[in-house]
Amino acid sequence: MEFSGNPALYRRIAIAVTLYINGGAFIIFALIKYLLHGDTWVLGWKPVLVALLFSLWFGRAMYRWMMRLDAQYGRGSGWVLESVRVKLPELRPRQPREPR
Amino acid sequence: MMLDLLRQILGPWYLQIKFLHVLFVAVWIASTVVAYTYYLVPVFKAWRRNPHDQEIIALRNWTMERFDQGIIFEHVAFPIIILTGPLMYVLGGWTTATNWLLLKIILVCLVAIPIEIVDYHLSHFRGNKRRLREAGDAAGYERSIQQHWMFFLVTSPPVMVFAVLIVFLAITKPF
Repeated sequence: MEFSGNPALYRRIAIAVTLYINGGAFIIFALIKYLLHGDTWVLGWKPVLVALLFSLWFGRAMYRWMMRLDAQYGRGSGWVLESVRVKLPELRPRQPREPR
Repeated sequence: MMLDLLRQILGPWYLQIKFLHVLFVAVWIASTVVAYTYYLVPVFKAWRRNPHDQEIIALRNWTMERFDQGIIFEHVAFPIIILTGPLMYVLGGWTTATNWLLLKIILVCLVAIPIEIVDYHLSHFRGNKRRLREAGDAAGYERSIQQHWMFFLVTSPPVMVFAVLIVFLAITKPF
């Protein structure tokens, strides 16, 4: 079974997550402030600019983070793979309970 | 009236409830950091670079099952956080007029809660790797491992950024 991750998918995910979190948080925050308190300052140019700049940074950072984490960047030259023989402690399989 | 009763009974314990909340937020944030960073990620990266190496796959699987176990600390802490948070909101007389708190609550609802719901499924319920292995479901086991890796890829960036932001908002109360 091949792992389905690829750069195009990660790009789409980064965009979707950025819109969901940053866009969602901004809209919900603005709506609550307006509907419950009559505040409209959230729609001023400063909050909108901060939200937009943060979103641009986050979207790019998330994509690059996913690519690095999934070993799509780099060659792993900081590590060596050593073949060793080990005993791995495993939990005993759960035994079915005997009927009374 | 129920809220008034709650405030009457638990109000004097606000600081103790806050202590529990902060303590378990610390557990929630930090309990998996070392295992994730120094055990899980190196093994999974080695697997992604050598996807057919059986020795790496064996270690990957063992590491993932240990992680499924170890995350119990995080998953015990989270319900306590979700209980004590709204309790403090009620007892402290907080409202949506407090901007930093409103943003914090929104981020918890948008980020933390959905992530943890999926995490519970992957680590303890139908996605639990040990259960799939003991059932002899090799295809299901591999599918669950890969789903869990995809979950880490997608959630690591938002968790790192927004968990820190949530704590920052709570402590500095910037606006």
